Amino acid sequence: MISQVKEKVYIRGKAVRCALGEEIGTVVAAMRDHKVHMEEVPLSLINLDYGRPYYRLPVNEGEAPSNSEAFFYAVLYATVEKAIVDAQLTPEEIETMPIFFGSTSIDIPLYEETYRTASNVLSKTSSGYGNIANEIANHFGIKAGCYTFTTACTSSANGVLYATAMIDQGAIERALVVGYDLFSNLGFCGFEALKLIAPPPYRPFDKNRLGVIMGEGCGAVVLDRRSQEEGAFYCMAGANACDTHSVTTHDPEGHAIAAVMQDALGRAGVSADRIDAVKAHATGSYHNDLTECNGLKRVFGGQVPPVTGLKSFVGHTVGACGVIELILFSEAVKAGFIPATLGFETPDEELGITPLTRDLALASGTFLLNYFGFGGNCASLVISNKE
Amino acid sequence: MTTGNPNMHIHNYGSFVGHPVEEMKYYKEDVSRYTRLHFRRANRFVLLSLAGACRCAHEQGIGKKTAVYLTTENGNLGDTETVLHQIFHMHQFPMPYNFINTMSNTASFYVAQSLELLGRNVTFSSKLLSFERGLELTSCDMEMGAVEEALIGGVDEASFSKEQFEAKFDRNYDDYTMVEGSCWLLIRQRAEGALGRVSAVASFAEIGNAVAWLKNESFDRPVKVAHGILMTPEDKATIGRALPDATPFDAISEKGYFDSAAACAATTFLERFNSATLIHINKDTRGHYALLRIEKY
Repeated sequence: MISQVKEKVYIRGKAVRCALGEEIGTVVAAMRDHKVHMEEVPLSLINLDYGRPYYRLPVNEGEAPSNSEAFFYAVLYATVEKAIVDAQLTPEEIETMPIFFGSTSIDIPLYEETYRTASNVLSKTSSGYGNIANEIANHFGIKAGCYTFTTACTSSANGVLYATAMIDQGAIERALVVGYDLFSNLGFCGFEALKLIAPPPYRPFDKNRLGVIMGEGCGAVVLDRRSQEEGAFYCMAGANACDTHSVTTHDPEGHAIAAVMQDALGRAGVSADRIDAVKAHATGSYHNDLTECNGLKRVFGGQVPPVTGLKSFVGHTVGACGVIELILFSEAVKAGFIPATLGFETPDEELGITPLTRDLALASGTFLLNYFGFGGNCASLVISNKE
Repeated sequence: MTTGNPNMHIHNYGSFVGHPVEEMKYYKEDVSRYTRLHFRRANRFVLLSLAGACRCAHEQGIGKKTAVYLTTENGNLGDTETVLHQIFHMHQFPMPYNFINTMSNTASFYVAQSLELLGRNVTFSSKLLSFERGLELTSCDMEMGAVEEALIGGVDEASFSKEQFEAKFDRNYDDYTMVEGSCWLLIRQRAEGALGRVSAVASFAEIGNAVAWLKNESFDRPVKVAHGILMTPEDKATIGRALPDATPFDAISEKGYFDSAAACAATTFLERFNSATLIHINKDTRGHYALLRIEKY
């Protein structure tokens, strides 16, 4: 029997740093203006004379180089600090707040530079997957538990899911959920080796889509039973499951993906016809978009609500996308719009779903957020800012 | 935080612990005893995960909605090293399946695929407390009705680096036998047919709070006390005073050390004892304590 959530779990504080900037107002304004910041990253490490696009973080004057340990922690700590300030947490609330950390690359970016001149660095020196969350705890004087999710592109979405559930159950009062993935050659070259990286522009759901363009970023939210902000978003529920079709792709018919969406809706106590819009995972790969659209049609039948994808604004930030896209989507709605799927031009009759081609004016609603990843991971979240 | 879900009944356990064997064929042959799937591209971490999980699920008639929680400290070290070597030293793209396998959740995927499980699937870590925190997630999912049946395991490759081990733990590497392992529990909400129960998972910022918690517990079976690697002699003495009638149980000496030692202590206790209670106290590098209470009927 599905048990439904009892508590509203509010986004009490949030902060993001992504290719569009590091202040939420700036990021939302850029989304409204349909701006992007993409760079070509050379593949000279592989002795190739071409590059591939990537949504890099703009590096500010005076900041450490983007491949340094100092930069890694500066971005992480500054983003978490902003979320804590935004949430107006007291010192006691900070101290007792558990950390839910989700990432695909975890600490790989910290080790890569050393590999240029050394071997087996990771197995000689890695402190383990849980270390980054512990570093956050040490830096901010947090004495509560640390939970690190490494479920590929659903990592930080799973962090949101479990933090919400534990708050709802009364096991914890509040939680800091962080999604963080910085550029790594491992991820960049790995995606290129899979022939998944597309040339610009990024075109999720488009008939002429050619794949993924990666991005980097950090998102942090403080989830709590209460919020000082009127009209704040709250997480209603979520679900997670495994699609065992293949380690790299999901069942193209969308059965497993549909089951996860339906599970999330059931736990939120929301019927499909009450969903005002869907933030799709929308990676732009042929298989992912096809699978997701088939799943959406199974859940919503002929009444699919407005659908959009956000990755063409900030790139596919892999494990961090759970929190980053939660912030981008909810802040855009609070600003009165759901962004169009940037780059989309030509409908694909095979998908049978046309995403938003123009921004949709909407300031409140109940929304379904989808996240899927390698290793069969599927996660869906239901959020709302309706009273 | 204390998780006292009364419905975490242990129906089986399975473990695969030993000295690393270089030849992957050894692992593939072992796993092939439990599954007909061929894991041509599987690596050591994946095969280790399968060896423990498949033993645990073997002939248990587990349902398709069974959840998988794979807890690990380090995940897939081998393929990650291979891929970084390919990129930085050979200046080549990684082999696609080497790259895919750097994401450790591929191991929990293969566990689900081999056992045909479509339920929740989480690869999870929490520095030195991964297994205990993973049990918190299991409890959370069971409490919300998302999971009725779950496989939860601790999986880690062996630590070969003396330098890393001694820096991480401030312990003498040569005092330990290094092994690799994959130790799993099959947990159901249903009590009928259970061989034991996870009766509590609790975490404390200070040992005094752990002692206070222990003093409020009552025990109707003999208590075995096991400790994590970072527990100091003073910590152990403090716990010993709180549980004066308990008997020490040193799973690390018995089985060897790998980073999922708490999971190994749980399965070794279930294997070794009947009608007993395990109290396992673990400590992380922040000085936090996690306490696990397991009953064996």
